[in-house]
Amino acid sequence: MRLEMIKTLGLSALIAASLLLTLGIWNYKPNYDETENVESNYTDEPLQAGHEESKKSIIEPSKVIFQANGIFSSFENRGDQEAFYQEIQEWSLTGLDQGIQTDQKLPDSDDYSVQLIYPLEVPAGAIRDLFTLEENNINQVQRGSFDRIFLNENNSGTVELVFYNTEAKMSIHAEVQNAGAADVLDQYADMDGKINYIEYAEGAGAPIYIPQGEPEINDLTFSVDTFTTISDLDPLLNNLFTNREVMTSNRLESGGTSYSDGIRELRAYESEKYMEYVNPLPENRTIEGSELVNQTINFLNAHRGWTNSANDEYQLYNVNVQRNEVTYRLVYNEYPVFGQNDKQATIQITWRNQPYKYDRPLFKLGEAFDYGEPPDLPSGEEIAGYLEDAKGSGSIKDIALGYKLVDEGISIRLVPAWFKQDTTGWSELDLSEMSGLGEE
Amino acid sequence: MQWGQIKTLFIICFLILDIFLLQQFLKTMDSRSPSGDIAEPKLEEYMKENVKGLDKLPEEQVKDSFITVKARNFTADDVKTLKAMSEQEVDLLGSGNLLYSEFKEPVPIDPDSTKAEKELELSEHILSGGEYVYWGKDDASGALIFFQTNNSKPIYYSQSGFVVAFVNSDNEITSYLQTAVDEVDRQEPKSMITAYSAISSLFKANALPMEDPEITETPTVGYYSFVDLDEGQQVFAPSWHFAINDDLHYVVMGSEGQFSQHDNPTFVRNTIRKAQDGMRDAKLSDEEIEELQNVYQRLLESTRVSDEE
Repeated sequence: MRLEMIKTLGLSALIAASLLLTLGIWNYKPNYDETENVESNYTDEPLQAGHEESKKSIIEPSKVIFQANGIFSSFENRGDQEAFYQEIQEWSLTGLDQGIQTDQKLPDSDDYSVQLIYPLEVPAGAIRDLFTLEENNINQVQRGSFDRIFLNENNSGTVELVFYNTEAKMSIHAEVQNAGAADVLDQYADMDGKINYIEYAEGAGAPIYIPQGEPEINDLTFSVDTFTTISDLDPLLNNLFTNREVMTSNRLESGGTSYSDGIRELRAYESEKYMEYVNPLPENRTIEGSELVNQTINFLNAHRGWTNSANDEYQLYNVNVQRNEVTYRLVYNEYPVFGQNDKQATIQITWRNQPYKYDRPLFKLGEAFDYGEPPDLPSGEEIAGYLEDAKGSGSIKDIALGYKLVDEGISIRLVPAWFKQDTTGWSELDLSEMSGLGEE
Repeated sequence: MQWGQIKTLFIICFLILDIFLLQQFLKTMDSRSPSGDIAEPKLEEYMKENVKGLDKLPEEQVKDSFITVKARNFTADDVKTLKAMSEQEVDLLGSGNLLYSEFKEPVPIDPDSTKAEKELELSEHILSGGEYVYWGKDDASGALIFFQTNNSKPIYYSQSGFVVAFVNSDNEITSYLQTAVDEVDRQEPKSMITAYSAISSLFKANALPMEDPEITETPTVGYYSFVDLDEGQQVFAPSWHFAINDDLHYVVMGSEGQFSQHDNPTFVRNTIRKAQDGMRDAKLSDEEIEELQNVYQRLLESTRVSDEE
């Protein structure tokens, strides 16, 4: 009887202890000393105009090129490109444990049926976020990166993926587990409504793909919703300034307002519709590219910093690991937008555990109310000819159709133009170099 | 008998559950506590071995306030007062917030005199002289730097609250530049990080010189702003000043440990540049502008001597 008594007591004590511990875990709050709390207290208040995004929709290819019998083509309807990409992101991959292979030749056109071309070298760690991985063996390829993915259906009917880095000539192989993968490829390959692309392979780098014929994209004008006033920016200010009560605001001579607490400064330019923020944090150790993307996306999600509308989106366009810098570019209908002042077209963050610099547009595109005529742009053939003739075109890595953002005050105009990517980044293709071409 | 067995079973189950929960609890405590960084103790050891003069650090917990200030505009009355004090040629630059003055009779200043003696000497010849403390000398040009104080603490390296006195080879002050701010608002005092954690954040960021960094003065509390605006209101945050190896100056923000590095020659050069910029907005005749341009050019050149050596 006495033993039973001890057991009852012991059991009660154990039950009580488990309850206490559970409550302890739930309610444990460290007593941060106010002064030692270096992290800022991010609040959950979001920007009115914004929403959240996932990595899957932020890291996207700029071009999807289908290849059959040496003929290259892509979707005419840009929405199909997005649909195709979303479909292949459902796939789960294996075989990454083979690791990174160096000194690889660019796959021949016989060796693939589709290639995805990304506007930047995507850190390989992001593969885990873009696709589903059967085993978590991303570590073997973590240090790599890729700017193209080649998709090919092999003899046994499964689909193979080659993540390829055109600069470093390194590749990562993977195999798709899903049974219907080959059907998806065939379905989209056979889809009607494609336009042919010219392959320009004379340059030093990987081939460049240029759409054939005269570009049929319209000149567009949008109404614009700006959020430059203090009440619009309130969530951001709460987010970025730990010490809101000491913050002062000052009109700037150049037009706009400077918000500062003596340490950080946020400058909001009203007529130019963008902002610059700096928090003078000391140099931080560099972190891995995919981690940099993760943390900046999380930061933007926390205040719903993705302020795009239905037809436009922000896409990852540059990662600079040395400088801890990430750039997200505005993309309209899958065509990249480049600003005369590029701060109007990009969200740019330098990350040091918190944002050290954060520059971004302060507007959201509204309804397109003026569909202008497609401007008289040189055709793809003429651009290819230009690449052939022009001096220094060897340094050009890619050529793409895009929009030039023109700020017209109460409206924003997107003017179609050709852009080139070289070692310094993207810039408008200087058409005056092409005199003698076209009608002028 | 059966109930007894069930109890034993329960005891075993709860024992396992409790062990698991305890483990979880310790884990959360570790991960959420701010001192969870394992590398910290090692770094501290390392800092103690490398940085000299750590015994100079004040140990007490200091409290101070963020202050909001506004640039002071000098008026015609101020100029009159000034001219009554001693004969000098005064120019108001910028929107009137930068004052440049040349003494008709250069004011001798003994280079070996104490800090207080220099401050006293200066206060007899400038406006609100009592608000400024002697900070140091720019060895290149020989210029003497004074910082404005608020609540008797210096405002560090601000282009909005300083006096820079230019000295000739005979140790006489020939001319000076002056700006000032007025306090608009003052927050409740808050505790600052200790001098020790301030120097740690410099050390952690590898900001200190590689070879034998030594704290050569007792660190003091003052005010600093990363954002130096000419107009409107600006906030200054309480901060620590460290002098390392005599002529490297670091200002560490007392709230979060951000820091910036300064040196006296650069500060003097920037004040001259500010004067050059200020000429554009000032109401001056062409002749005056030309004359001042030459003066400032000469002053700028004098600060560069040491750079070329």
